[in-house]
Amino acid sequence: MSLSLKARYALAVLGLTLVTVVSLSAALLTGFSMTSVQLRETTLESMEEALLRQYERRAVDLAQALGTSIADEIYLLDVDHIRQLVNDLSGVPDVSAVAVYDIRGPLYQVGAIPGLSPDETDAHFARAEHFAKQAVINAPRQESITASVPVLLAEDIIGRVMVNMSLKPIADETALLRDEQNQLVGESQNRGLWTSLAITITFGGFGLVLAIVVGNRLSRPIRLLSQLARQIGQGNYEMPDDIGTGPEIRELVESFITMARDLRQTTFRKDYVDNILHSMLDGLLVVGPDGSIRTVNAACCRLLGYNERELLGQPVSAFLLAPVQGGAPATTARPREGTARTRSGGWLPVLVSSAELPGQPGDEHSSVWLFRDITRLKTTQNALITAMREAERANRAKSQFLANMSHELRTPLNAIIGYSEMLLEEATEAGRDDLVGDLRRVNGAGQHLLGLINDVLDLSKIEAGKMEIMPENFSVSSVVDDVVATIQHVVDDRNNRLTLDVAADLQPMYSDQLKVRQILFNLLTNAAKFTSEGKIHLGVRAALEQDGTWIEFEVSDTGIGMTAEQVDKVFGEFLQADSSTTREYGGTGLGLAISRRMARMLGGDITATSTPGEGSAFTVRLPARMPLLSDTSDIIAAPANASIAGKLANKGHVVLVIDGDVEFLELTAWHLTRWGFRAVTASRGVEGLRLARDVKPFAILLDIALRDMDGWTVLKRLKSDPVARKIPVILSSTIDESDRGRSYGAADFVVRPIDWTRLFSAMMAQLPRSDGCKVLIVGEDAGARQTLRQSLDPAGWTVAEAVTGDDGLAWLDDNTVDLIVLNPMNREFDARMFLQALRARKSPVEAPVVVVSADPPSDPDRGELLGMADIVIDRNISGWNEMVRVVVSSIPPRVLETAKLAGE
Amino acid sequence: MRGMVTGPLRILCALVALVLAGTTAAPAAMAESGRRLVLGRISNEPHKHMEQMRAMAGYLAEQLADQGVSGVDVVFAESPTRMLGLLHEGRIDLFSETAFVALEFISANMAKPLLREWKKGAPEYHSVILVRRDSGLTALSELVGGKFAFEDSGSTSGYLMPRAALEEAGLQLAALTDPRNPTPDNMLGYGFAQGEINVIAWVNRGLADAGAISNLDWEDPDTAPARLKDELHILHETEPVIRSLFMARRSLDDELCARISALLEHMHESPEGRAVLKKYYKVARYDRIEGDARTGLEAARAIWRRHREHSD
Repeated sequence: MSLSLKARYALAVLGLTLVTVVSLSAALLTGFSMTSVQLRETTLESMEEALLRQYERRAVDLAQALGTSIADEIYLLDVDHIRQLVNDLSGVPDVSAVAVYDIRGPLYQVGAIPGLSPDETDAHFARAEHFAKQAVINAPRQESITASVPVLLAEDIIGRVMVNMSLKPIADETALLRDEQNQLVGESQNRGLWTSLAITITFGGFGLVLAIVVGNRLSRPIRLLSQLARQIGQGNYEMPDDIGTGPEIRELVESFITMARDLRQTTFRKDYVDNILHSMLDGLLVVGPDGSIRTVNAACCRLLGYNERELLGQPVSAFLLAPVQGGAPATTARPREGTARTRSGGWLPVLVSSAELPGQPGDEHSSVWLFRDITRLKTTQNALITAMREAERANRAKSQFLANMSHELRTPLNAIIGYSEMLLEEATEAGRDDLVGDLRRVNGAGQHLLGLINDVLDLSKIEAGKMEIMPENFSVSSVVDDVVATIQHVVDDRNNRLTLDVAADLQPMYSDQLKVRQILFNLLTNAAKFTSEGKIHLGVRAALEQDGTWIEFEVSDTGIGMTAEQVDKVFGEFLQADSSTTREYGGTGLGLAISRRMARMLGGDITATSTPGEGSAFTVRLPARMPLLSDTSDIIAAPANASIAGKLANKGHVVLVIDGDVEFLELTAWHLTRWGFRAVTASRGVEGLRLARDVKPFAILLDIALRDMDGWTVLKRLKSDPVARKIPVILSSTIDESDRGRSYGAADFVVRPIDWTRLFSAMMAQLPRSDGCKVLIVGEDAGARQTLRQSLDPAGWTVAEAVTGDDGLAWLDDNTVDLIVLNPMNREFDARMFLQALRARKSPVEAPVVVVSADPPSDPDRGELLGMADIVIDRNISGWNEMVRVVVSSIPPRVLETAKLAGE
Repeated sequence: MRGMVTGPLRILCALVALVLAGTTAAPAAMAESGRRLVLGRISNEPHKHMEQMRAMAGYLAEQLADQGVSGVDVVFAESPTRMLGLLHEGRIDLFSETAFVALEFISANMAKPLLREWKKGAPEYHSVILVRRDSGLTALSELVGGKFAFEDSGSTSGYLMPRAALEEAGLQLAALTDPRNPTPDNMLGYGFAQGEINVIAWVNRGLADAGAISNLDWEDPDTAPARLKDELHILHETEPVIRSLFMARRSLDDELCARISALLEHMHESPEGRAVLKKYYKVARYDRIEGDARTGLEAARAIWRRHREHSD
């Protein structure tokens, strides 16, 4: 039954009033009753006590009277008379038993003590007989008292009289009094109850009236709010001028209207957002913590071919296969490629992004998934990849062609230049001045063409990756002197003046001397070329910075200068600041482009500043010690699969290689990088010790034969360094000194020339052990499984093998796994079906999956595989070491962290 | 079995008896057409016996109505002497009495025995001579030099019968005014304890070396409480004597006496009769003085004679 608020208020007030009055009455009544009971009990106890005293006196009196009467009889042993008197006395009301003793014991006894057997009665009197004087004692069970009085004859005690009196009359009297008082109290309580009832009715009536009044007043604002709600429902959000009530209600009404307006705004926003969601071209899913679909938009239904009702509550993994772990929504800020299963059973390439939806505190987060149909994009991408490969192939063909043609081009040019110089000399000597001019132009054109060909070939080498770096230690000042000597005639040709400012404290530079020389030559040539009767300055200095020592070469001139726009283009290939300059000043326009590429190859760069009409300044910054490895280094081949490289970028462990052989440093760094490590090198022991402290590598590969200090010394210092002593050190030497190495604390020893497989295993053994981590290898190739097992065993992995996909899935029913490697060798083992079955499992498998695929990257199936697996390795370009490297690198960070902690 | 009647009390009892006799004599005197009988009893405490007496009197009156008896009255005599006088005057017709007292009235030719009375269920009784269990006494003769407690001088079982037994055992008795006084040499001192329980108490407490009560009292816990009795045992038992007799005034009509005897002899056979008998001093029955009853009577007579001779 639904009651109005007014009625509820009225009932509440009425109930409160009644409860208060009834409670008060009950309390008064209870207090009165308790007081009455206490008084009654006190009175009864006093009366009972008085009665008891009275009985005691009476018993004593009777005993004394009897004792006095029978003193002679006791002396004369006139028991018959005693009996008469005792029998007479036993007839006295309340006298239960009487006993007469002489000094030898009982003479006569009559009656029984209430509640006692005859024997107990005898025992009681026998006990009472022993009191020397007059006494009153309680009989057992407290139902009677016994007065024991000595019988005196001439001041001698000749016997004792004991009179037992029942206390039952007292108990009866007390019970009677208690009944009477109970009756009185009951009557009093009844009066109190009636009084309380009267009070309750009176105040209840008053409460009823009060409840009606209060209910009316309190429900007025509610009625007002109800009226306002109807008004708001009709679209009128204005507050009435006269609310007609207090400030609190006014505030409530205002809040109500504000809430209604906010509600309208919220509703509008919700509709707005709904419209946006449903007008989106991208599919949208909201996935609950359990992986089930909670919300979909129209595009989602359209793309998948299902209606909303069919999708809601279904696992997202049944429709959307994206790079997720275990079917749980993984948040990814960057879109990732995946596949969507459509109603027709087809697979739709999609670009998936997801983000967590904040939920209630303590709840697992839901996530919102956005996916876009990239069928056209993939088609375009595949076309682009194909085009790019074609272009790359064409470019490589071009570079190859140019490289191959270098000899063919130079050979006739050498003949042209050589013969033109020879003819020029002969014509000059013969005085054939008419021919000299022509021959000089032929020679100049040949020289120009040779320069052009050389630049193009250099650029081709760079692009083809065939430009080699040959680092060495050299003196900067010597190089500067050589370049200046070479360029001096060019400077002189235009009446320019070259000034030098070479710092005196320059340390030897470790870099590619020829390229440094070529860069300086190009910059000085340009300066001389575009300056006439001006100044050319070459400044060289060293700059000590946080990342090492840098050598700065600054070439400035007072030539024609460049605009800012020209400066931006000046390093472009086949470009000069102005196309007209090529014609005026000659050159291929490749010089600066080649110079910048070379500078970057050496770990540095070239920057330019210029002002038209005032001149230009080019600054070359090169590291004094060229890094063997650089994240941007071109000398290290890029990983075969760019996505893998991205995954591994942050996973590699740093290995410090300390070796006196520079070539070995390069080679080792190359191998380490391919294995997924990051290499830091040092050719000197001192430098290696410093890097060990600064870099804190996970392992050190140390050569025994260093140039500056003994490798054993380096090892001892490492092991005594509190920072570096825990870093495992692998020694390398041409002589097997593994025992000595272990005695010095080395973790392992490899003999040179290096067996790279052996070094790989040694490095793997230094990785934090992954004890307890399991990897499942699925594939028909037993050799492949064996190789993986041998590589993973040293790292503490437990390797499980399965030949078919079904075997692998069955194994997963009963086992947990940290990594899965699929190595399908034929069509019978479909990796995609395996992955679909894996993702559709009720108990999700969170382990990352690495697939070794034989499909070419351009194959659409390969793209679908990429959306389902975590890592795909191209079998055709990957060796087993590569495969192992990828597998190891795929160890989840959490596993490594756990293993590391366990290892510590 | 009854208390000794002292001087003032004796006078009071006589007055009571006279009053009662006077009130009951009138109907008898005027019984010309229907005579009234009188049932008498020796007692100085008439109130204690009135109920018992009236029960029997009423029964007799009812049963003898056809014999011309219009009613039976009750008269108390404070003493045997008074009883003799009332018998002599013809103012008591019937009474019950113990053997030795009855023999006194018979010998005085004032009464004649009608039936043996099984008073308190016992047709005859005897005396038991009690000593302490730890006394070491085994024969009456060993009581020489000791003290003896009799009940009172008028008691058959408490004095006459045991005294006869003691004397037959060769003991010479010497009365002691105070039981605490010494016994003359070679004699047996004695005193009267004035009650059966007192006899037991005296022996129990050593005031006397031996005492005598009837076997009936010895078996009665009221007169022989266990707490006193347990320390005693019986040294000697006398020959049984008839206990009580229902007597008639010597001059009472024999025919009527026969009728009364016949009535009483069968009284226990009816519930009504048994109820009256029970109320009348717990009498079990009446039977003729024949056989063992006769023997018992003769035994009592022998003792009575011995006593009379000794008293004379």
